[in-house]
Amino acid sequence: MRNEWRSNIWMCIELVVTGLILWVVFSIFAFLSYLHKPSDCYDFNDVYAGDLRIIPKTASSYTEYPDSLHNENTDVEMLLTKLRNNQYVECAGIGLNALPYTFNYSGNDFSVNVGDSVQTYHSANVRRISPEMVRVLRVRGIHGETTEEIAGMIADNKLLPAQPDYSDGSLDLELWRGRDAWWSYDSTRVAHVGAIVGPLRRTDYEPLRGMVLTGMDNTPGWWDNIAIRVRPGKGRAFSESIKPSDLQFGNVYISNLESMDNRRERAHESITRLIGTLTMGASFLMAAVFLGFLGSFWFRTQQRVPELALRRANGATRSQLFRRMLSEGIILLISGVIVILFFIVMFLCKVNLSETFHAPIPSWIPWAGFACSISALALMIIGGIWMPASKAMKINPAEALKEE
Amino acid sequence: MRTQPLIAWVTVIGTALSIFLIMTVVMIESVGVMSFSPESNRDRMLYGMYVHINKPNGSGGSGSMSYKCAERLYANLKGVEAISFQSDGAEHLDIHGTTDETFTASVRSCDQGFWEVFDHKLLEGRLFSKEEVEAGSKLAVVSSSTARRLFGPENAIGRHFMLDHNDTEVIGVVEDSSPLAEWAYGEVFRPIDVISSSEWGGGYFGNIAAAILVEEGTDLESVRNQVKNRYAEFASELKAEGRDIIYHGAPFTQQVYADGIPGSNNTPDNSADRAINVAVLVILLLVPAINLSSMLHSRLRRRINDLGVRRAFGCTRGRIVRDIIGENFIVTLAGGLIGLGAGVLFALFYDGVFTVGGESVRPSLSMLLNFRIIFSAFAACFILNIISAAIPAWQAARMNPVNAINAK
Amino acid sequence: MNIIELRGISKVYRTKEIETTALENVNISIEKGEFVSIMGPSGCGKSTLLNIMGLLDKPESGEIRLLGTDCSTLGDNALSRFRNEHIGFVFQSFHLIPSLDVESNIEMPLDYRAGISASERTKRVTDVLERLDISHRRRHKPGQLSGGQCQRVAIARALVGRPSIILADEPTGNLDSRMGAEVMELLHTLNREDGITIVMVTHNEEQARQTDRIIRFFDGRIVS
Repeated sequence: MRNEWRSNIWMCIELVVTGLILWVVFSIFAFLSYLHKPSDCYDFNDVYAGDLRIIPKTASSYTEYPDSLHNENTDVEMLLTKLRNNQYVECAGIGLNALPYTFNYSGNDFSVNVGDSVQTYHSANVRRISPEMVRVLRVRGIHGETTEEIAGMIADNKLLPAQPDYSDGSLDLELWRGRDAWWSYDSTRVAHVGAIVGPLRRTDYEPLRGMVLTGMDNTPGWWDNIAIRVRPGKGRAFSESIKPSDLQFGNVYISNLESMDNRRERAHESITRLIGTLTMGASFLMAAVFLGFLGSFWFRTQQRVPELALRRANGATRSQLFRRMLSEGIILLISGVIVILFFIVMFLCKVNLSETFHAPIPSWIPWAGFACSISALALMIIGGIWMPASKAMKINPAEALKEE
Repeated sequence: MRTQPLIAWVTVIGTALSIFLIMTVVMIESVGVMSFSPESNRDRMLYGMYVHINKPNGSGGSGSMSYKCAERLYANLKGVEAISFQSDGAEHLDIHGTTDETFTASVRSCDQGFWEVFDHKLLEGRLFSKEEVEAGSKLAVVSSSTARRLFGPENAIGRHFMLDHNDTEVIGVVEDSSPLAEWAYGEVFRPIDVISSSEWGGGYFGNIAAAILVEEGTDLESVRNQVKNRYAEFASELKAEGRDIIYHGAPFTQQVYADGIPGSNNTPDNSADRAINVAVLVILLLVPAINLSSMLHSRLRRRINDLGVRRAFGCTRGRIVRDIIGENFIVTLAGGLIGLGAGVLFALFYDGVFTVGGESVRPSLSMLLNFRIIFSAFAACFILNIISAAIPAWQAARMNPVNAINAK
Repeated sequence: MNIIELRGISKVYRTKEIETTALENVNISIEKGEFVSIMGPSGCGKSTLLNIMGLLDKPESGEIRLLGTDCSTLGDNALSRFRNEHIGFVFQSFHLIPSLDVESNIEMPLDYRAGISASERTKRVTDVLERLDISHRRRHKPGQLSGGQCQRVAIARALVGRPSIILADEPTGNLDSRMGAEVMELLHTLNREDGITIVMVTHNEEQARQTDRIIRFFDGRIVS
């Protein structure tokens, strides 16, 4: 082993570079899997969603309304009725910013007096939802409130906040239940807090900071999405049965109708791509380590055939020789790990992860990444040494010595 | 080499892997800047995007320009062959023709200059004129696949379709283009409504961008300097209104645009991205180089007697180094060719290598097999070879021949 | 004229702890066309002397003149060129390149010589192959040859560059007596017919007696 010091130093450098990059990659993976929380208390299977749009008044195909009883909202009602008549549709409803996987950040501040002169605040993304939409998304409360109960609360225009994944600490939404909340600190805009619901996220990787569900405003045109629940497993039949005329009534039409799965996929596209890129990079580095150890140890065993044969002749068992080869790789790994550890500790001492990356990164994440990185390196090293070492084990001492 | 098939394979595969990833990075970089139809002159392009105007009370804003503002800054520059005032990106709008299908298409609103700046290939009909743009005519040029989707196999010229709920006539059909041509791509092209295009923020903001084709032989900097001077003049005029316009280096070259424009209120500075890119390339080269180097080192140790004997018979040190590096280059090149082939196939058939606005786009083979990319592959092979072979070759050449001959 | 002239050659090997004197003030003159053997016990410095004579190693002090050229002052490239043009080596363990066939092994020294056409190369290689009676083995790898054949190939390789001097380090040391005798016969022929100066290190008293002169070595010094 000492004869190979130069080559060992290079391999050690390679282990350190690779180990550090793998550490970053695996830490990101660990963080993503920590973040990954699908919106629970909802059911998006068999749900289709589309954007709800209005033909502009300037367009040639705009139709004027005959009287004040008709407007965009009556068009929407007709459109929904048409859709509900489709044999594959279970229910359909509208909302304003009510769908997951859409990047709308409009929000408001809410405050509640929870005790004598104790006011608590909450800044939340406001999602307006119709009772029908509650049924489409099968919204449930976290304390077991049924979809119908939630739909009732929405019909009564109650405020249904979601417990954030992390908050500034002081907020306990449980205290809000059954109390009156003020919109924008305005004592004249009061809403009763009904149930606590599950978080509805923009992506499954988004740590939720604040979100409330509330009922629709009746202003014409104050909606932007439509969601349709089809009968279980009938998604394909439904989308094939839809004609362009089914998606328009009067001046209102549906655009980009697609399954919720599609929307989820698109919302996650950049994360999926990031995972893909990192996986590729990590695989490349791991393959490089594997090939490097395979190649170097192949030579080393050949170089040392006489030595190994002599050991065999002097009574070393095959598994002793095998372990001997393997332990060289492990010693290299350990020396690499010490250097890697040094860099990581230096980095963690200097950098506050959560502040630097503006994300709630728990302190165990880098260590999980470290463990994965080292395990990956160890696997690649053992894998790379396995073949040459098992070949070395099979040396016939008599022949090898005679050749020499 | 022949006596060590496993090592030969390990070397070739290691090289191929490295070249494959390097090629992927280079391709993504190259596709952003190299010329291909309809953006055939990217080396002569400048892009005017965004204005940033502050008010004295500290409020203000930044965003795309109004037509008025774009004209003020970019019209009639010296040394410019053609200029296109166009919407700041394609809109995704519903269209509906005679086939029973409503679908979303990328709609590009532009003036007649667009057809001079970009060389879309006209298959049928004609392109729209300056007069038609100014009259706000409801007509459109569509790509051939869009024409088929709208009207089926019949001739599209003169037929009407619903474009964003407006009755629109097709006057021309152009060849399909790649969305990787971010400024020229579209499925439907319609005259930009320069009169009533939306304006806000004192009439300076809108949804217009300018694509400028600089004359051949004219320095791009001279055109940029003219714009810089116009910014200065504009600033003194705006001062009277109590506003301040901030110069962020527009118009931008293709390279700057490809590197990414960091929003409308920042001056592009891609040094950090550049550094990351360079670091990625260095790691992609260095890690396999360490492996290849250590394998070559071991291989040479087995050949040390050979080398000693060659030295005895008059081989110079330089010749030893050259021979080793040359021999190694053949292996590297073999790996490089495999890596390049794999990289091209990967780019062609794997979604997500190239993305425009979050959507993955597949490039064409002709885009990938261009001089720049192939040259980079060879350069990468060469560098990989040099850094992996130089140290072992030098060590081998430095050996005392007597020790080399007698080495076990 | 002296083709090889060594004056006051000394060579010391140093490690951290020990200094070993391999050669001490050695003076040797060898005339053109001489066949000289160097004898002495193992480790007395014979091989070191041969390596210094062959410009493969540098002495601590002293002067080497080969063919009238002062080689002590030449740089590494000039030394390489000099070796290539004027010196042929024959080693105890042949040192053929295992991956090359006989022909390529023989041709190797010509790879390092400028101004030799391809046809000239082929001719020279064919000539030595025929002369050494190994033409039928030209496509074989060294691993497929007997020891005697290997040494013939090695001699052919030493010969192909048409050197004035051949330095042979125990050329028969790895051969049985019959093959050894053949190789010795070959060397004598080359010396006689081509006038090549040969310096040979050997342990074999009988072989040494057949040469023109014996230089005896002990502890880095010439004793006779």
